[in-house]
Amino acid sequence: MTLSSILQTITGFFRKHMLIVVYIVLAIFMMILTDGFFNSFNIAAILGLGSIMGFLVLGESLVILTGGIDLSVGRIASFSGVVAAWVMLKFQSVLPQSVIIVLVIVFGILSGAFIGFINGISVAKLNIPPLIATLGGMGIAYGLAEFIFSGIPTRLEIKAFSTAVRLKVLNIFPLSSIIFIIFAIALSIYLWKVKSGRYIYAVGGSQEAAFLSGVKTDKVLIWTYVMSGILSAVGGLLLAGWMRVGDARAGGGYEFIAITAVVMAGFSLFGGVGNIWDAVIGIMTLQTIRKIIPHLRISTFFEEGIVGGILLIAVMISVVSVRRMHTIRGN
Amino acid sequence: MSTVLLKADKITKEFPGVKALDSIDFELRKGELHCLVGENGAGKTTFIKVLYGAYPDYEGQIVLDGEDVRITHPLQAQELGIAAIQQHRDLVPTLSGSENIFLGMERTKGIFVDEKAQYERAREVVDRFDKTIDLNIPVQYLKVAEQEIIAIAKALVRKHQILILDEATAPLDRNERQILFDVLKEMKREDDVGIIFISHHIGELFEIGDRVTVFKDGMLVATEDIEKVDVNEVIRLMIGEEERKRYQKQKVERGEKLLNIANLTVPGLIKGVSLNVRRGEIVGVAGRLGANKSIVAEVIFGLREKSQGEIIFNGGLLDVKHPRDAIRKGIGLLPIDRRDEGLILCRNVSENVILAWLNKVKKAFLSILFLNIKTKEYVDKLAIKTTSLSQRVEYLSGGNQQKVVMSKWLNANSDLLILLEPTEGIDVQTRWDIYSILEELARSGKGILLISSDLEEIVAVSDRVYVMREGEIVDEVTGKGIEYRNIFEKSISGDNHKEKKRSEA
Repeated sequence: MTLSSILQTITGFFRKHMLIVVYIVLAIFMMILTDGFFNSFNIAAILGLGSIMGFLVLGESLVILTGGIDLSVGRIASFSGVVAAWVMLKFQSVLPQSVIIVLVIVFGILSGAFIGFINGISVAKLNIPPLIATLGGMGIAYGLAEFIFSGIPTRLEIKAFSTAVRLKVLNIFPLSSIIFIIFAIALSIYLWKVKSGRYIYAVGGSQEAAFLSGVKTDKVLIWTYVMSGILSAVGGLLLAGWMRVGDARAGGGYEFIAITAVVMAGFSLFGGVGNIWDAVIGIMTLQTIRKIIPHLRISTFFEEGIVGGILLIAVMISVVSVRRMHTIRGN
Repeated sequence: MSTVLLKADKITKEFPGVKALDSIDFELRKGELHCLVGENGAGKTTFIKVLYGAYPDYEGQIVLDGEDVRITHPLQAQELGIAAIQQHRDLVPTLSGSENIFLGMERTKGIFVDEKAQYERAREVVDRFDKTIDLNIPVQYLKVAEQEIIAIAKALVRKHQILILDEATAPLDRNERQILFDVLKEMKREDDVGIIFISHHIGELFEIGDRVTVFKDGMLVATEDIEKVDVNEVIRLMIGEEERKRYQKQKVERGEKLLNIANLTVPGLIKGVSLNVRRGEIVGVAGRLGANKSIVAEVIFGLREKSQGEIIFNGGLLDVKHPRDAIRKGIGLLPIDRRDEGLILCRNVSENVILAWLNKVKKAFLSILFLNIKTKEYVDKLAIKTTSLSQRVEYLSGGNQQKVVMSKWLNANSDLLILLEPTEGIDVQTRWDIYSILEELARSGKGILLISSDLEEIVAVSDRVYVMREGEIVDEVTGKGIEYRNIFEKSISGDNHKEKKRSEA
C-alpha cells in the first residue's frame, strides 16, 4: 500500500463520516474557548445521558432506515420507567430485590415492545403514515404512564439498580455507556450480517422491490417498530434508575433530540441509507453541544432552539445530497 | 418437449372504456421460448401483467402444470414459479448489486448472511455480461444498462419455471443482448424453463424464438412456429390482412419560427442540442431509452439548468427559472407521468382544466359557472369521455386523462406544447383522436414538440424529426425520410460505437 492510497482511504473515511470531523473541530474549539470543559466530570455526564438517549437514537435509526419516523421513543422511555416503579411498588414487600430487578427489566421492556407493536401494526397493516401512527403510539404511552400514578412522579427505590446505573468504570465511563456500546455493537452486527437486519435496509430502499423479491415487508416493519420500542424502553429504565424516579413526563421532547441526532448522522429520511455508528457519534455530538451551551454563557432556555436549528441544517444537507444524487443519475 | 406448462383460457381484461384483452387463448410449453409481438397497445404487456399477478381482476382461467390457478398477486406468481423482469421496479436502489440479486433468498452461514458466497455467485452470473460492473456499490449509481443486467441476473439465480422478459433487451447493446440469448437458450435446454419474450425488434425473434404469438388490438391473431413463418409474414399478421389504414396526416402551412434552441448542453446528460419548431409544425424527437430526450423538455420548461446554449422563444430570449415563467411565456408540458405530474388526480375535470390558467385571474372570486362553461368547451371539442365536469380525473381512462392535460394547456393559451410519450398506455382509437387534436392545434398556429420513444407515433404525425442518441442529436429527417426503418436505424447505430468504447476501457 502506497502512502497516497493510505491517504485516500483516510480522507474517504472522513468524507463518509463527516460527523467525526465536526466533533473533533467542536472539541478543539471548546478546549481553547473554555478552561477545562473536558474534565472527567463533564465527560462522564455527556457519556451518561448521551448513552441513555443513545438507546432512543438506536431505535429511531432503525425506524428511519425503513423510511419512517418514530415520535413515540421519548414517551415510551418514560412509560417504561413508570411501569418499573409500579412493578417495584407492587412486589416490594413480597419478593427479594434480585427478583424485583429482573421483573422491573422484563416489564419495562415489555411495555416498550407493546407500544412498538401498536406502532408497527398501524404502519404496516393499517397503512397509517408513520408520523401519525407513532403520534398515536406516543399519546397511548403518555396516557398509560400518567394513568398508573395519576401523573405523580414515583420514587424507584431499588438501591442495587440505581447504584449500578450510576457506577462509573475507571471513574469516567458510566455503566450505562458500557451497556450502550454493547447494544450498539450487537445492533450493528445484526444490521450488517443478519438477514432480517439487511431487510430493514431493503424495505427502506424500496418497499415495492423488496416485496416483489419475496421479503415479508409487513413483518419487517412491525419488527422494526417493536425493536425501536424495546430499545427506547431500555433507555427509559436506565433513565429511571439514574434519576431514581419513574416520571411520566421524563422523556418528553426526547424524540426531538433522537430524530435530530439520526438526521445529523446522515441518515436519509427517505430510508435505506445510514450507519448505526454515525448515529452513535451523532447523539454524542449533540449531547456535547447541549452540555456546552451553559458553558458559553448562552441561556439554557435557548437550547431547544439550537437543537432545532441543527435539525433543520442537517435535513437541508441531507436533501441537497439526495438532489445531487438525482442529478448524477440523470433520468 | 411439448408438454404444456401454462395454458390461458379466454383471458379478458377491461379498463374503463377499453377492452385491453379480449378472450385470449394462449399456451406455453416447457423448454420453449415464446415470443409475443404486436404494436403498442396491442395488449401484450397487459397479458403478461395478468400472468404475473398485477391485474387480479381478470376474467378467464389459467392452468399451470395441469392445475387451475388464479393469480392475484406478484408474490403468488413468484411462488408459482413465474417471474418477470420489470427493469427498475425489481431493484432496491440503495442496496448493492449482489445484495439485490440475492434479496429475499439470501445465502446464510449460521445466522449470518454469507456475503462472500453471494458476491462470488453474483459475480459469476454478471461476469457473463459485463466484467466491469461494480457489485458493491448501490445500484442507483449504475447506468441503466448495468441495472438491467443486475435485474436479469437476479431473475437468473432464482429457479423459475416461467420467465417473462418484457422489452428487457432495450437498454442492452448488441454484445450484451447476444449473451442474454445464449443464457436463455441454456435455461430452456437444461432446466426446461418456459420463456415469454416481448421485443419490438422482430429480427430478434428469429434468432431465438421457437414460437411466436401475434397480438392486435387486444386480440390474439395467431400462434405460429417460427420456422414456418418469415419476417414479412409476422409483420403482415401484426398489421392485418388488408393494408391497415394508418393514421393519415394532412398538410399544414408552416409559419414563423416559434422555438429555436442552439447548442443546449446539460453536463453529463445532453450535449450541443440544436433544434427549432415553427408555428403550424409538429416536430418529433425520436430516440431510444437512455437517449435523454426528455432532458431537452425539462430545460425548456425550467425544471433543469443548462450549462450552455440559448433558447429563443417567440422572438425573445427565453430564460426560465421556474415552470411558472415558461407557462407565462406560453409553453405547456405534457409530462410522461400524466397521473402524478400532469394531473391532480383527486380533483375534478374542471379544476384540472383551469389549473394553469388560475395565475392569470385578476378577480378575487371565481365563478364556478363560468369555469364550467369554459371546461365544457374543451370537453366537447376534445371529446373527453366523462360522466360530468365534477368527475374526479382519477376515474377517467388514460386517453381521456391525457385530453384533460391537453385542455389545461389550451386553456392557459399555450403557443408551444411539449409532449413526452403522450400516448403511452392509451388504446389505438384514442391515440388517433389525440393525433388529430395535435394536427388541429398545429393548423391553428401552435407549435408542437413531440418527444417519443414510439416510432410509429413519430412517423405518423411528425413534419420533421430529430433523432437523438446518448444525449446528442444525430440527425434531422424530413419528408420521405420520415419512415420507420430509417429512423430506427439512426437511433440505434450508436451501439457499435458503444461496444468499441467498452472494449477499449
